[in-house]
Amino acid sequence: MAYLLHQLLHESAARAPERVAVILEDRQLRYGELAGRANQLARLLRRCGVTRGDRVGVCMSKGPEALIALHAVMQAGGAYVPIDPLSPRQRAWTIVEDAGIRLMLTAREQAKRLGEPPIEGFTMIEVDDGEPPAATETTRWLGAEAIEAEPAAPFEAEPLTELDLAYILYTSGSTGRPKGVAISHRASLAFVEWSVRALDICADDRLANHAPLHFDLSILDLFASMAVGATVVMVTHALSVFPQRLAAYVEDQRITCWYSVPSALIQLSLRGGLEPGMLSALRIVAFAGEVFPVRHLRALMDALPHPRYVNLYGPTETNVCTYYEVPGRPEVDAPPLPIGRACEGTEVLVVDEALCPVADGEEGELIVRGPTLSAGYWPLDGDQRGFIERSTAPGLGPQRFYRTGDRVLRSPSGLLTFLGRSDHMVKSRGYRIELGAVEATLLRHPEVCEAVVVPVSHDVFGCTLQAFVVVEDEAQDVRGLIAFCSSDLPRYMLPEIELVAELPRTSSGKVDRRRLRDFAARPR
Amino acid sequence: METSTITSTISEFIEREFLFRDPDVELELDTNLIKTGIVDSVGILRLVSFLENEFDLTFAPTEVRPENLSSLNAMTRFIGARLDDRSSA
Repeated sequence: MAYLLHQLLHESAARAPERVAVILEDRQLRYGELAGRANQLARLLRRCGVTRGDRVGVCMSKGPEALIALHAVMQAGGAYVPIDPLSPRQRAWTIVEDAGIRLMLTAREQAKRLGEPPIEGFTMIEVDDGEPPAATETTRWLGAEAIEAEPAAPFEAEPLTELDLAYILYTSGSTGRPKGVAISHRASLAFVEWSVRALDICADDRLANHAPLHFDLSILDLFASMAVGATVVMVTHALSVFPQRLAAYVEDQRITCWYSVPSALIQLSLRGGLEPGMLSALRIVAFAGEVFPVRHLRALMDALPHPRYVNLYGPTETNVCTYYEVPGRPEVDAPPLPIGRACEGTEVLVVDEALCPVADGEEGELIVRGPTLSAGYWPLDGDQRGFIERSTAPGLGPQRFYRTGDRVLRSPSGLLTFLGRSDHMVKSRGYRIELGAVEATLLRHPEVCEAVVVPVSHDVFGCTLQAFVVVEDEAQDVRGLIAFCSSDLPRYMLPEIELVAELPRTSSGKVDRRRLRDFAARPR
Repeated sequence: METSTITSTISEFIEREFLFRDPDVELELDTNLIKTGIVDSVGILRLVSFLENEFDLTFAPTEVRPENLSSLNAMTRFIGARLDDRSSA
């Protein structure tokens, strides 16, 4: 029985090697082939010096090669660190440095974008390149031939335990520096196993993978599939830009299970050209990462009445910790969807500032305990704020909890509803954005004296960002500021910028964010 | 309208609104704006809006597709054909 994430693939491959494991548009790999290719690449990684506990970067676009890469890294004893192929070069290398990565799996296109590694003793493996670049003083390059030279037979590098890390996912940190959330094999498997049971995933399912590989939503798509021998159908970001195309792809591929942020589903419902009878194979529509406005959910359920609709909730630090299955199309005036009840095997508490449980009906912070919890932030001996220990019952020693920073309320029937954040974190298209990180970046610009970023509500995307900036030099322009931010922040964190002479303040002298939010929300 | 004028109008808009956000990518006539991430799902709405306002036309939902929008060349072809239709109507 699997106790390591990559064993799911090999067990399924042993049972039914001819089943299709992964599809991207017109390309596919069967389980047997996927397993063999992962074995080859894992051997090469070991030959390159990867050992237990190493972090290996994976900067690739969606496709069978990316899935091979994730498995090969884990098989070699390492933790994979997915790096968004669309992220700015500087941010990519910041993550590499933070995670202590010395080897990157990539493809020719992404390698060009990344440029020369700014780190000594680095290895780049371009999995699709027959003619990788020649070695430089600081970098060794390998290509497709080196991988193909390795045997495809089963390969286990060295014994690992369930506590070894499977992957590290980088999210927005409050200072602007990306923060790595480290997940063990055990935590990942606990989530995968829960999702298979909760959603009844079976070998005949065809799960879409819409989320990028650095988003923890992808864990369900990729590994719930591997667990049961189902097929994962990858969706490129390019396809999502054109909802009609996306709808046609979901139809043609007979997707049975879809999991994404609400904004992708809203686009599909508003602009996907959905007609009665379409997407008939779809039996599960799951969503997470941001609030799904009732108005849009109604429209989607009108267009697609037959699937089960499930709201999944949980930060990257815990993966999904509560869930709510929508009982039927909500009324026009229905309140926001609940986040539901704790996943089986997970415990959640609603607590006050003293971390004591509050009564039902009282607002408090949601804290989570359970096997899906992250091992902590990278490095594991660094700042672990958010992770706390508290005793859950007399006689029981302290247990590890994660403070989500989300304010919730539990109804007498036990259903939890999400009320808002405790701090300056917002969601835009499901992406977690620390407003402070955007502000910190702006403040690093030499001409910027003050900068405040506020969220502006957006019907489809959750919110967009509006920055108010006070500059030293009148000649400083907005474009220059955006260009400055662009080399540091991913696109989804770039704000609209308005230069102002001064910022409004409250009577206590703090910046009046509420006034700025109201001002930003005014119709133009 | 001259093809080159259409192209330069669109390219200026992209440089102004999208490209200066992306220091690593060069804009060529056949650069795939979507695959390179220059234009994403939020951006495509702004781009379509700009084209509709700038060239005084309307995109039918089925016309919002990669063939018509993925590169400067694609947009020039699409807009050029629509303008030709209009002037010959």
